Amino acid sequence: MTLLTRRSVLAGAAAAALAPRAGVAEDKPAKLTIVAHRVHQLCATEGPAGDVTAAWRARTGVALEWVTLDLNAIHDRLLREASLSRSQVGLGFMLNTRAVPEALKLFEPLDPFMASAPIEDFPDLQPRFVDTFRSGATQVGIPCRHAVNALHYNAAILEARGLEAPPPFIDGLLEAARKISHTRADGTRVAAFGFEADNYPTLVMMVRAFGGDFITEDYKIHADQPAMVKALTLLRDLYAEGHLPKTITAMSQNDLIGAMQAGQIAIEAFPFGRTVLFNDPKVSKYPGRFKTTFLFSNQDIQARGEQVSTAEFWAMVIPRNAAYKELAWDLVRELSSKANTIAEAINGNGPVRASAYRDPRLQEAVSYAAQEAEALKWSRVPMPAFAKSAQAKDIVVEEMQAAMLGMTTPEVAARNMARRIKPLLPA
Amino acid sequence: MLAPAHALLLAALALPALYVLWLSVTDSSYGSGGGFVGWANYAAIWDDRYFWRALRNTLIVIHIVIYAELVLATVMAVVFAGVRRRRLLISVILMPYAISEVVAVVIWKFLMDPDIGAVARPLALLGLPELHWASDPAAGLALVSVVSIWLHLPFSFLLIFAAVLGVPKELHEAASVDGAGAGARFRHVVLPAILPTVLVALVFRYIVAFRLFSEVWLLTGGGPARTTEVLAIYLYKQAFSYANFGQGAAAGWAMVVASLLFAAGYLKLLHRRSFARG
Repeated sequence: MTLLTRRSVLAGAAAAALAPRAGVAEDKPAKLTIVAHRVHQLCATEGPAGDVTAAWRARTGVALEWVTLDLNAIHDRLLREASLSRSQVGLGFMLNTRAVPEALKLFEPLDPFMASAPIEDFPDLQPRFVDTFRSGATQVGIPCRHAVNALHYNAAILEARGLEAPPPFIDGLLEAARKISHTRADGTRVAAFGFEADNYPTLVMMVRAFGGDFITEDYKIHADQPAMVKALTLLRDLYAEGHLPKTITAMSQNDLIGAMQAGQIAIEAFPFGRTVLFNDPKVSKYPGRFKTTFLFSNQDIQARGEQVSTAEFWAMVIPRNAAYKELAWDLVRELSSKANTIAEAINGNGPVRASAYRDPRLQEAVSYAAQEAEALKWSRVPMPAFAKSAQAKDIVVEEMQAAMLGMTTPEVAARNMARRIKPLLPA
Repeated sequence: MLAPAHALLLAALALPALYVLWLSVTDSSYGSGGGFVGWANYAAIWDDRYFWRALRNTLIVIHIVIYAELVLATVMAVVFAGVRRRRLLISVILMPYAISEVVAVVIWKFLMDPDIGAVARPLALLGLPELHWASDPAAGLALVSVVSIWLHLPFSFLLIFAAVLGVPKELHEAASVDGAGAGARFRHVVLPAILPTVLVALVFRYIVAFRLFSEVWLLTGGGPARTTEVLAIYLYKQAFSYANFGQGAAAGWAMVVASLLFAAGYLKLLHRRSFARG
């Protein structure tokens, strides 16, 4: 007779508890959960090039569950999920500004996957995007989207005000704004310029157009230099003279897009791909009348044959605690293939492969492809990634808004930015 | 031994609160359980001028909101109690409660846009001064207060309206026989009868209003230049923008303590008027 001992009961219970878990790890799931921005889902699943994920889903039999959130919420959810002992999230999208060592350590090193099942023509991916998502010598993220900024302008409004396009140089913006801003016959005010005043990229673009910089890649801050003072002074003058919407500090990205579509703002800085939205006949009062051009520059930069260009970019990352890493990697490979990169670009994505812009299908389908390729060549991130970048962002926005609304002088705001951000930067 | 109700209360309220208390004494962040840092997070928010500004803004807004809301609710309840066929009026008053808070605030934002707002522009055409709520912090907090009152008026109204309807008719009749006018009847008959209910509404609204978030977040985002930030936004930024869970948790506990301190006087009064024996 076999005696039932306490040890055997415990061993049996442990085996029973572990058995289903081991089974799950080997099974194929019914779905793979992706934490992303809505734009990632749209570019992958909708648009003129169709659903890029359809073939993968048919091949694997696995459905995709897209959890789409706003910028802050994506990273909060993704990093919290990755901090758990086990996560249901199989794949996430991470912005370059969040790619700091403290965050990257939560995600799976991809080199072993690359060795066993490499991504097609990996060197074709922009090396500076790839390098950003390295933690030491380990690749942690695969770049999948860039957002290079352009000036979008309403050609109908500009033509009516006697202008063909926005001025190429930042020095001409105020003068042009004086011609563009007006009140329409129906009483609607048209503001010459609009930008995300709760963020920093447009300010950094202006600073660079004035020949300066904000934080360089070596983590040196230059905010107290004359270019920042000039940029803040320009914003103050634009606001004081009524060339920005009165509620500019409270306008979300969607508010700005809506105002542009309604003809309440004439010029905005946004990623190139937004032109599709501005020209959409279903929602725009000026379909087909929105054009793109390069960001404001100056004569010296133009003489060197360069452009002021800001860009941010995204990568796909797999949480270390994800259950189905090989499946997630398979999807990363699928979305990163040459053919799918072009298909997603036709759907509105910023392609991270240099070769994509040479593809005739893309050139034919995307009117701004050549311009975007040129801007991409000169693009730099508005701010390099570091652990306290969120705090730095809030400081920039606070000081910029204070200077713009006349709560403080541009000189004091610029000095405050430099003084307050310097301690936050990596040594 | 714990009764099921006690266990439920412990699981739903006490344990999360204790966990947040633990978080508040650690330097917890994403991927890091956090080491014990003692009172450092509390010291950090004590030294942070943005915390004090957020506390000041919170107190200003909630005092405006609560008292304006109670006065409006009381006036409406008394007026409606004397009106026949009041169902439609009551439905209109209750409507804001049926609308999603986010949708309501976004609609208010559009209505009050000085450039295109369907309310702001006609007001300007009438010669009234523009409300620059996005650039003037005082105007921003004023609009936040208006929206908050509009959103939460139904709660206070319902409580007080029920209390007004509960005042015995005999008391009204007796007061009338004694020669009391409408004002005297309100002061000497209705108000004493509904005061415990008004206090209940006040305490509830006090505690709920301390968590004020979406009205500010969706209207001004705490701007311009962080001048309209309230405590809940300060907490959100610490915890979810800066990934500083310890300081966010400390701000959460500071909110609890502050709301209890400010509500304590009313709670004492409520207890004395409504529940104290003898």
